[in-house]
Amino acid sequence: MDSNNDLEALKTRLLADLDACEAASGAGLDDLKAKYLGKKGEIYGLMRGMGALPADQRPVFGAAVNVLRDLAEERLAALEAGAAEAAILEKLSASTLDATLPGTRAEMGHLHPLTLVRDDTIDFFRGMGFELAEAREVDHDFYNFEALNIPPDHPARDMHDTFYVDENVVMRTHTSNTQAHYLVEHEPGPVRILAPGCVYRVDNDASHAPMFQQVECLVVDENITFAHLKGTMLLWAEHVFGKGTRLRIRPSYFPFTEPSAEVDVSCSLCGGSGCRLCKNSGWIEVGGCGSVDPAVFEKVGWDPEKYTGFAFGFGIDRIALLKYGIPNIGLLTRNEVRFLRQF
Amino acid sequence: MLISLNWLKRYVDLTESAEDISYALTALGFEVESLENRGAGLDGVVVGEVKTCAKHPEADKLSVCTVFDGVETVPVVCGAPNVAAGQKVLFARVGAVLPARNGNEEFKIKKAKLRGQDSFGMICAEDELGLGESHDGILVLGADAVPGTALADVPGLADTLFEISVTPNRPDALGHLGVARELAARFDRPLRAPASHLQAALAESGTKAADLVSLTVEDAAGCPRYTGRVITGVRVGPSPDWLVHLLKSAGKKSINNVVDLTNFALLEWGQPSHAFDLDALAGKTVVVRKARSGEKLKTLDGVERALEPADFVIADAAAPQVLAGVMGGEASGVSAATKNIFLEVAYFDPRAVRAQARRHGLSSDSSYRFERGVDPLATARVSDYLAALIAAVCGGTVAPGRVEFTAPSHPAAPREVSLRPARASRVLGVPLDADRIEGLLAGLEVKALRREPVEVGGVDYPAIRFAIPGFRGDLEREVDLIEEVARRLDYNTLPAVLPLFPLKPVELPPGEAQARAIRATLRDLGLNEALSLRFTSRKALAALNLAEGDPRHRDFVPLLNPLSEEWELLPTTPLPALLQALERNQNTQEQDVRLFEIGRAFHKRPRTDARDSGVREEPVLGIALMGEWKESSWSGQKQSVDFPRLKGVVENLLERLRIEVEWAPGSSAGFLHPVESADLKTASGELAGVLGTLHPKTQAAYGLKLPVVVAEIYPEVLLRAPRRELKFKPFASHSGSTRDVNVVVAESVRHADILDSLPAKVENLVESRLNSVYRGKGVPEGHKALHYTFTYRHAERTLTDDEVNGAHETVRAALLKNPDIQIK
Repeated sequence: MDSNNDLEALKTRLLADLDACEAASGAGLDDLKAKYLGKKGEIYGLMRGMGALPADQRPVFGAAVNVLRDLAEERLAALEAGAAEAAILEKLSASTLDATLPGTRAEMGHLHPLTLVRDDTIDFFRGMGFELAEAREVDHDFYNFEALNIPPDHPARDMHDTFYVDENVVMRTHTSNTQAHYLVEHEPGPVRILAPGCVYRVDNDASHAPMFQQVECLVVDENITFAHLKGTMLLWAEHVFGKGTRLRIRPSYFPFTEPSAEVDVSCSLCGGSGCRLCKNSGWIEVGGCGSVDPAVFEKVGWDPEKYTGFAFGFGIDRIALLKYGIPNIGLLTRNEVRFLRQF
Repeated sequence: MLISLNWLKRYVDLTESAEDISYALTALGFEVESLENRGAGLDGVVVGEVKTCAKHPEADKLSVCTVFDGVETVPVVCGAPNVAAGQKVLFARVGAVLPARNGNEEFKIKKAKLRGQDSFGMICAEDELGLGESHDGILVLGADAVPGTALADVPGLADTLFEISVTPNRPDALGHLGVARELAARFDRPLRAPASHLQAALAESGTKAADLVSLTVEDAAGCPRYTGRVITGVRVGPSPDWLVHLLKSAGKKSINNVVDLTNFALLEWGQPSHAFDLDALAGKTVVVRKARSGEKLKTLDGVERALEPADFVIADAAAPQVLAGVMGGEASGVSAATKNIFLEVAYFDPRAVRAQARRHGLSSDSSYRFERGVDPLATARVSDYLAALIAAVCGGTVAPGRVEFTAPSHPAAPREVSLRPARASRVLGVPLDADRIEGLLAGLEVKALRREPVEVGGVDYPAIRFAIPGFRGDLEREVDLIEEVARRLDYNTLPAVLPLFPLKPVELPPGEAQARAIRATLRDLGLNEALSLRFTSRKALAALNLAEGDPRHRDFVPLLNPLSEEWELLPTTPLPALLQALERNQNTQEQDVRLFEIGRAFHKRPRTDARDSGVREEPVLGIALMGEWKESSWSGQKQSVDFPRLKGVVENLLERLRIEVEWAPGSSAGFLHPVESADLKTASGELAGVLGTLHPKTQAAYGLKLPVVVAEIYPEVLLRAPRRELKFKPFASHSGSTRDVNVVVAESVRHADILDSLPAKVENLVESRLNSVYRGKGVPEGHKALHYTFTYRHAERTLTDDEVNGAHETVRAALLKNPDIQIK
């Protein structure tokens, strides 16, 4: 009987202590745990005292002590969890960090805007099966002019203010010299090439730089038509200037294409109604194009009766100026970081 | 080429708006660069009659006039010196708005008092109305002008002007008639050719031309066709209003009636001509010949030109009078005293004219047209037309006949060209039949002669034979006609179709792929990509402080016609441009500038074949860092750029490219610090680049104040270097044990020397890492302390302390064996 009384008394004390500990937000929790559940704790004390009971009472008493122990463990665990939670909350609320501070960023680098346009152009055409072809920037007159049906003393040379290295060697005035190299250096057959690169003209003012970049596309096969030229250019124009872009193709003159044309796209800013960007015309000139002139095939030894083709070229600088709203071509080569960091 | 709408209307009825005509011109291939409506919007400006004109009582330079404007007579104060009673003038009524000009805003006429005198309107000068540039005084109209007539209704004053660009293949559009022909075809209207109604008026009488002047053509190559006419008894004087107005619209000043008419014919037909004072021609002789050495000619622009034997001239019995096809001479030109005229209309060889225009640096309206090719079949027609016109306008008598010359090679009849409709369809991608094609070309006066098969490559194809009018020298081949068909259809109406191709994988060429990797890596490392003009100068190269024999100033490529001295050469290295860019950034107070550029180096080399450029071109990567490298965006942590920073950038780049290089400290490149620099070599010993701190001399020569480090790397060499394969290597699952060592050495002992002191292989040593280099307290002057961590690890098991200590003892012993090294 004494033992049962002890059990009841212990339970009463335990509950009172637990309540007090809870009220004190877990203070003295560790002591409480040792006091009741420790190896030398009171609950084990009861267990140890069980030997003095008659054998038939032991199972009942043992079960009652176990219930009490479970109760103590459960309540103490709950108190422990609460205390841990409280400690975390306290730690979190102790932070003084100002989350409106700017992030600690690394200084990032930037690619040149012309590289962005150039790589985008290459990827676009590569996706359609065009190979990249390159040619010299300093080239023989033959490849820059003669093979392209521009003989010496031809007025078309007035369209190219040419830098000369010597009498027969020029800074290429257009990427079209790649056409001539490619056709001379390959056996006749289907051609789909893309030639980006720097070109040079004796010109330097607000809208002309002595060096600028062009991309040239050349397609040759047995049944390539002017309609294919228009279809391909339209895809490109939509890629660069957005879906719904319209093309205006007007006759022009390049000795190495016939028919030859200049290409305008509907103004990307006003959509064609007229604005400052397009000088109220609704159109922006972006490049030149045409069907390969049979004279070019003849010059490079391909059969002009069998092969037809088209070529078109545009200025990477021009596209970049339009796309990024850069007001002055001179900014492109001044290499000021306050410019370069914007791209 | 300035095209006047009034002028076009002489040949074709045009009712379209200026904008529609402008659109049509552009769609036809004559891009309209600007459009000007002269006299538009000047509603309150009318013809006025100056009734009275007296000096202003209180101002010397002003006159007080009364002007009748068709309704009332009002007082007007006028400042023009040429105002006089009786004149018909352009009068702006009160309320009229004059156009903005010369940066001034538009200007509304109000009632005013000028020095006490009422002024109810303004008598206008040409420029005040936007009718021209002249401000020589008020514009005085012909006496037949009726007061009150609106400006827009005064013949010839108001006009629409199109500035069109004419491509070199279309000299026919360098005259109004040619442009009118294009518009007539586009709008499907008849064209009124000027010759048809004026040729009938040619009345010849008196002595035959051949008896008045003799013609010899010695240079038939330069001058395959020449005609001369004589007009006697002309009265040289001012031109009639219609002529003045038309020339003014086309941007030409009136000189005298004879010269104006030759200019009129030039701007009408695109055919230059020249009027000589016949009495100024020695021996009444005209000789077309090569110039002789020592001969001189003072041309109409007042320049005395030394002629060369390559030039060809029109001479009289004594001396050259005209640089053929380019410009006339002063001595034999038409003057007020001229009575008798020799009128030249010729076809000069395009190349010959172009060559001599270029030789003399002189491009004229005349040479511009001859070098593009005038109509070889129209010479006599224009001669007759212009002679009749001169006689009609200037008086005088046209002597019967022409003196003329025709080279045997000169064409006498239109060229014929065949066109296969099937070929046109194949080139353009639209079905076209013969009838359609004939109809389209007829509008351009390209006449179908007959249908007859043409043989190409041994096969007969159905074709149409066309006669090409003389003014279309550009139509020589079938494809030229196909282009005309497309132009007549309008390029914008042709279909847009995508070509079909077999599938084909396309890789980037290795050089391009590597360039992309270089750009992306350097960008990721925080560098900005530069792009420089590829020009440099001897001065900029010299400023690099290059050693004797440095390839950067050997075999460089100068331009024959550079834009300026600073752009006289092609670059041999991207560094000068990058250093100049650093300086520009320094000028805008940038403290942290990190640039790279894949530039291009150009060097002369022997030609490999007749069509080789003789120039080697290769990409060169330049890196230039200047100032304080900011570690983060705002914390203020930053570090001056130095060799290790640059080396780290290059090491990161090579890591990304998976290329191993040898670092040889101390580069011989003259623009680098001799100690704080290194050469990069690939496994095969090729020089792959140089890098280091900028030499103080170079730094000073480029005016750079902040610390600068630069690198030059050769992508083509890297492309040849072996690349580490991407392959998994197993790694130990445990971390191993570390032991730290502090060594103290003299400044002259290098990190590499310390590592070289270790045996080639130490059991279980897997890493020797440098943690820090320290100078200062506790380290003797002239010495440095290096802190190393050595890591020992076995691939399969944990090492015992004894094993680790044993291995580390080997390391320590090896370090201590080096007399230069102390261990602390």
